[in-house]
Amino acid sequence: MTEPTLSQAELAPKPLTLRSAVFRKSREKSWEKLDKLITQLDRRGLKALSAQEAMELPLLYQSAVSSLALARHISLDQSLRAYLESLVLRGYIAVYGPRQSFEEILGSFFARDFPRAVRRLKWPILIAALALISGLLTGFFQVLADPAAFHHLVSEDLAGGRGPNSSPQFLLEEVIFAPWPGFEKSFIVFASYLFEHNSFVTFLAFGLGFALGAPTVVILFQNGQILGAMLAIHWSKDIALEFIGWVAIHGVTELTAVVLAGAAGLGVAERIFFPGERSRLENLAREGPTAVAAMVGVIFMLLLAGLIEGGFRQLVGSTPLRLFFAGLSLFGWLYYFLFFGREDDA
Amino acid sequence: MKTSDQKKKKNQDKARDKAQSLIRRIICPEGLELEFRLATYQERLYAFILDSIFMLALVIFLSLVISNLFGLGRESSQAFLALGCYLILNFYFLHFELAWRGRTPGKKIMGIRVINRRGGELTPTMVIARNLTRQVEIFYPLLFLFQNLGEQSSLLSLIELAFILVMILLPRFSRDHYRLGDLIGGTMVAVTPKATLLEDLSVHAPQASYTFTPKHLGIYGALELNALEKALRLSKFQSSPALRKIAYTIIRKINYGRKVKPDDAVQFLRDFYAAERGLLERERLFGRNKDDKNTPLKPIEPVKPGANPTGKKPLTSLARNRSGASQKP
Repeated sequence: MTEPTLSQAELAPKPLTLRSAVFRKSREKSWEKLDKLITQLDRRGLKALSAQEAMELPLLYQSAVSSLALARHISLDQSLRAYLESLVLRGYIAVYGPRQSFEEILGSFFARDFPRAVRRLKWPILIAALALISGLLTGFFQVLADPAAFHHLVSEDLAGGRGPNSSPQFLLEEVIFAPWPGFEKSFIVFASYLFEHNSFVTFLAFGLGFALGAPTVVILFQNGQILGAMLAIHWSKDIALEFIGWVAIHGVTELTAVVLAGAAGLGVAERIFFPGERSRLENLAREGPTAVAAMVGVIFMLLLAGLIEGGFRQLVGSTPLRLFFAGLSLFGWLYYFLFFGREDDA
Repeated sequence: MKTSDQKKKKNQDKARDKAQSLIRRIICPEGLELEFRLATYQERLYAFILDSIFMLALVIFLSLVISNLFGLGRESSQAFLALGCYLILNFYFLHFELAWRGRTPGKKIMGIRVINRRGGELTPTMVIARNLTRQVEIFYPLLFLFQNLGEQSSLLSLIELAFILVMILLPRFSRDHYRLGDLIGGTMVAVTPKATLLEDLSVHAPQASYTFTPKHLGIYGALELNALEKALRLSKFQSSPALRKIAYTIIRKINYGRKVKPDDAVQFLRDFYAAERGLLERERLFGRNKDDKNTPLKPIEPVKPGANPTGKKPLTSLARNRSGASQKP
């Protein structure tokens, strides 16, 4: 075995000049600082950072990004690269994560996102509303022509003893102008209302709208029919206006919500049927948020409608007043959907 | 003996393949490609189960407090409970994923979190979308099932049950472990990365006592350098016999001319590591790379646009637009 002989100069100790080591030494401090800030942020949220630190965070993150780009190029220190990869990932999450609190988001949601989503759903809303209205007309004329049809259209549960044979007195005194049942009872009505309607409407919009779109239209039509049938029995007893007041005071809000929910589903269904230039999956990711924004709004509208139906309606005991509130809410919703969040509309 | 070794290797390969298949690339807004590891189905399921337990505990606590504190009748306690359930079901996930940046208590425990799957900002709308969809996926079908159990036809109950099962199992079989809400929200669930900065092994000695010629250093490549780094960092290798063995293997392989005392093995290895890294890094700066001991030093191939080591497109808005434009001119 011939061993190469080394000169003395080659064997002499050399000072350390690894570029990557120098690189690390010069930047280590800022990485550690970023690491510390992210850890704080993860533990205790944005409140944990001072204003100064909150300003520094994105800058430190960007410098870490450039460090990583460089380290990938020049460094063969595995642990350093692993550390930087993970630091940048964490920084990315911290910087591009949701920054607002739930309450702030609610604020901007109602000021901007919800009405904007509704405006984007123009055509689906029209279809959904048409389905509901044509259902209403069909139900109305069906029952007017043949009162017995009422029992086919309206389930026993929903009718609650009302029917073509109910006397006008019964309808007026027991239902329409029934006295306020007291706080506790109203609350029970309210709570059960919430669950029933929400599950129903959410399904309407998503479960069915997503799948095909057609069932959504059918369900809207059927609900219109039920309402039309109810209207018909009151019409034939000349108390239609009282009934309209009784329904409309919360119904304006509730029916708008139902139509919006249906439209949200239809909007997505439309994108799945006619994907256009993008893939269907892309469309889902793009239209999904609009539909969802509309749905969240719908949930809150139903909460409101539930409050009115549960208690407020029976507190307002006169038809003109009820109609006035109904008109007010109609005007309010229209104004809200048409004009809110316009300033920076894209 | 040999077969068990082969088996072991096969298992290792399998584990590595599995780990590789969970890596997803996204391009951050700064334009750098980042690698995330997707959360596995198990991690997601456990997180969900944990969250469900927390929600249930919250509901039970709430109902106990309400019925005892206010002494309400049965019906109105139930109504309060219904309202409480409603709020918790709707807002538990939403609140936490917004306030805790894509994490819920369950996810935090499992070390996973929600991110934008295209690499942009995780917007509130996305979080809302994925969580509202959860209601349709699981909670409402479950509610329907329990409310109407016995009252409705068993066929309908079966359909509901099947729906729930499909929704729960979907992330198991979808390629990226997506559930419906991830598809709609444009999100994915990834493992929260964590790594600590370890000392730079090349810095340890202010002056190296062993030096090397380029000839010594030209034998090994990046692969061996990484293996050496790993060995030096691994605590179980700190026992010197193992490191001594590595040192003498290297001394033999590179035909090192100087005698190295057995006690100096670690010192030798660290010096060798620093010198080898110095050389390879310098070569990298000049655009040359030596992958391992069997391949020669060769120019680093420029990355072709669109080329990707995993063969999978990075999920970014950029990539999407590009491919969309080329497919449909």
